[in-house]
Amino acid sequence: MNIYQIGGMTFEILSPDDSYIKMCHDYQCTNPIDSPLDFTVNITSEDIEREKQLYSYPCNSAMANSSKIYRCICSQAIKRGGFFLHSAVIEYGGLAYAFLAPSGTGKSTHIKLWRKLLGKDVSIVNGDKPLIMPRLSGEFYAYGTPWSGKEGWQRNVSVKMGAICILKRGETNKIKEISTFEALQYMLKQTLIPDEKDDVEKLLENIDSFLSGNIRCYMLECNMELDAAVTSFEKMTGKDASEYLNAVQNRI
Amino acid sequence: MKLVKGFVIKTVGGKCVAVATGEAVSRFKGMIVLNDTAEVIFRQLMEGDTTAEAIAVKLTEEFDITKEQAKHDVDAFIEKLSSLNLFA
Repeated sequence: MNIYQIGGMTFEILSPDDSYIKMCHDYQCTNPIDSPLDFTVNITSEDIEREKQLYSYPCNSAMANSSKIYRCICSQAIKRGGFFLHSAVIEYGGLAYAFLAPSGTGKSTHIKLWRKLLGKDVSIVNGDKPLIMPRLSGEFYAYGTPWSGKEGWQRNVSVKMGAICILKRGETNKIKEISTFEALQYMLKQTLIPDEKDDVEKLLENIDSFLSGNIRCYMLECNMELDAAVTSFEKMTGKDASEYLNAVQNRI
Repeated sequence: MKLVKGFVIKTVGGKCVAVATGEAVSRFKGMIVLNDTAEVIFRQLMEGDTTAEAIAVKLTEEFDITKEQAKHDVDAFIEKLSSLNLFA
């Protein structure tokens, strides 16, 4: 049985193209499931062909299949109070920090700088397509998924959300706290807007509930120097980076 | 005057926003932030074929403003929506 657990949801995947099995390996349920499935992702050959048409560039069946499966999971996530956020999420001190930017802005580069600065104290949650889901407590958690961008950075973990940061390229490194409302405008550009009105309303409710929790939002302008990570790390975690910086310099 | 179909109005982060879905996405991606007046105008437009005149009357019912002020607000907002190509 192809049963998976992603974003706190348990489901079966049925598809004529089995290339996703290897990709989703870390999320496959190995033990028998004693509770009913939350849903089934049922993909047909027609779905795969339709999905191919959505791309402006040539897309093979494996890609189209993977994309369609993720689209189904995202729509289920919305029904369960969560949402997909196109971002790179890392874990530090037990909290998740999400960096948002259009592809090609430098999310991965910035994450590499955090890793360089903080070493093993920081770990990846997901490099590209995490799910943000509420727990029963009402707190939102970032969940790793197999969809993790070209670097393939992902872990099957869930980490309580600490802050989100909109990332922009700049000459120098500057960070400021922004209002949740300002953050919303960027978040909407980095999520999937469903086709159906009811689903869009639910998505907006979910994001509203996420933003009205204890989530801080920042806007970072940064270059590709180590100082970029120092700037965002200190502001977002409230911690001093000097010990880490000394350690980096000693390593060099 | 018909607004393109597919907008959803919702209060998020304490502010009222209109987000494009379905058909409207091909014309506009993202969201429009609506103040109290704009929300009334937008809702009237979403209800179907209407006129600036009819919306202005509605505004005078909802807010303590003159017909002239209402007409001015409606025209200005409609012009903005036109420039975004949001009328069918």
